[in-house]
Amino acid sequence: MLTVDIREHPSARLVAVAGRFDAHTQSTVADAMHGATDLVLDLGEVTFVDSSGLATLVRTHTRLARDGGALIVRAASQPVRIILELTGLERILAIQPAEAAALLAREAA
Amino acid sequence: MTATLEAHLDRALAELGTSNRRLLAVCDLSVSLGTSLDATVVVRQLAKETARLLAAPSVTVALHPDLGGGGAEHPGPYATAYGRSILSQLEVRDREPADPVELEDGPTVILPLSVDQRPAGALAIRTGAAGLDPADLWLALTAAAAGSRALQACHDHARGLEAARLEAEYALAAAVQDRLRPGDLPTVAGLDLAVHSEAALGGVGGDLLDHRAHADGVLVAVGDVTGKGASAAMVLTAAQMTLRRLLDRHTDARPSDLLDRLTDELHPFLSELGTLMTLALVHVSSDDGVAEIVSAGHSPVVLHRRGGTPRLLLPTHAPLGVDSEPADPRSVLLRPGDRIVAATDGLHEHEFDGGADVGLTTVLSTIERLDRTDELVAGLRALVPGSVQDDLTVAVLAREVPPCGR
Repeated sequence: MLTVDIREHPSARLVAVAGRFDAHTQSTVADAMHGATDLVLDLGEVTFVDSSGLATLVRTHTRLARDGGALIVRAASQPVRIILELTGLERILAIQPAEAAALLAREAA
Repeated sequence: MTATLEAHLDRALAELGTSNRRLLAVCDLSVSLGTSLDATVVVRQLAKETARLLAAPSVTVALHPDLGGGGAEHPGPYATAYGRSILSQLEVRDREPADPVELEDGPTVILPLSVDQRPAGALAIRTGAAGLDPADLWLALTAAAAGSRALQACHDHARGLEAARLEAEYALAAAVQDRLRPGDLPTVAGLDLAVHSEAALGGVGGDLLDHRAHADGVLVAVGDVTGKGASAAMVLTAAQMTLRRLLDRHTDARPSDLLDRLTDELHPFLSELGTLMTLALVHVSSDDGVAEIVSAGHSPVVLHRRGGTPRLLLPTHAPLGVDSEPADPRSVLLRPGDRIVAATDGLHEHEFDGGADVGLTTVLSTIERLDRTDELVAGLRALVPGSVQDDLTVAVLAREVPPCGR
């Protein structure tokens, strides 16, 4: 089960994901991120992420970097933080604490 | 069934009592439709035979797009736009099947065809303004039912062929992967290796396992390609063949060197596909027990000192397919009894019926509990009951305790 909340702000799209982010649901998250140049991704309520979910994050990160944009991951839940650390992806993806990202979101609003 | 239709049918059955020849004709239609497993033929025959049976000026059969669209008209060529207008009439609610619909070419009775109990198409019979008499309507309904049965048979046949084709492709992929399985475990004095690898889907998977006597010791590779099934298996096959070639050419290469070379060869391919591959390469020297470990985003890789608490080794590199800076390899000295365990996420991410997973804590406690390498591999496999949901690979490489040290 996965829910995705999308909010458009002038300078970034905010996408909040909750539930399981895996091979079965990754296309929903990919669709939510599609077309944005700057993305703030809230993974605070994600209960599980597998390698397909991680591949979706990396693909989006690569696309945005190539297009001059950025993907910021905020409020990563504990399961997400653990898997990012175990795969070394926390060194690749820009991960911000929730407060900083919330501030960014307010400024964007 | 509606009361109006029921009344039609009652009258029809009464009249058919004196019309056995037509009854036999509709039986013939049912039999002849059933002899073909080609939907195109069935549709053409249904239009032609229904026109003949009812002496109707025109009969059209239109198929729903889910069944490939198309259709047939007798006599005359089938027009897609006309077929669409017929199909759209099936969506009109509260329409009596017996009531003719006013179409451009005249009053038409439109009866539904179904496959898998879902709308599959329509049988449209051009009639006079009064529509079909009860006997003709009964025959038309019988023809439509025969048409539905024949289309169902075609659909089941096509589905069976597709399943057989997929099965054959999987069997071929499994045979290719089987050929790529590493041979016997290397026998190198002072080192003990045990492995287990299992694919979730008919022997076709995305886990990589390789091992060989290499340089002055043993090299083990454990990896995992994002995703499952045939696509992951194809990426895995390419990666495994590349690794084999590199190992054959660079017989003294250390894990870090091999990973650099693999990254050079695989990165463009993986990033173009938008997929990732994690990989752990472990080499242990039988001369001095030095282990060199590189992990491209792979987890878990565990160092277990004899008598100590197992600890996770974090990756040295990002997964293959991700742009990242090369990192330093990790070297540790294995003393007798120390070991390195590498597994894929099919182990610790296995989810039980209640939603809980095996978890890394259980994996680590199992490693701590079981001494012998073969027992440990079996014990880790046993954490996942029955057949695996995800590809699962485990490798344990230990420095043996000399007999006097036991």
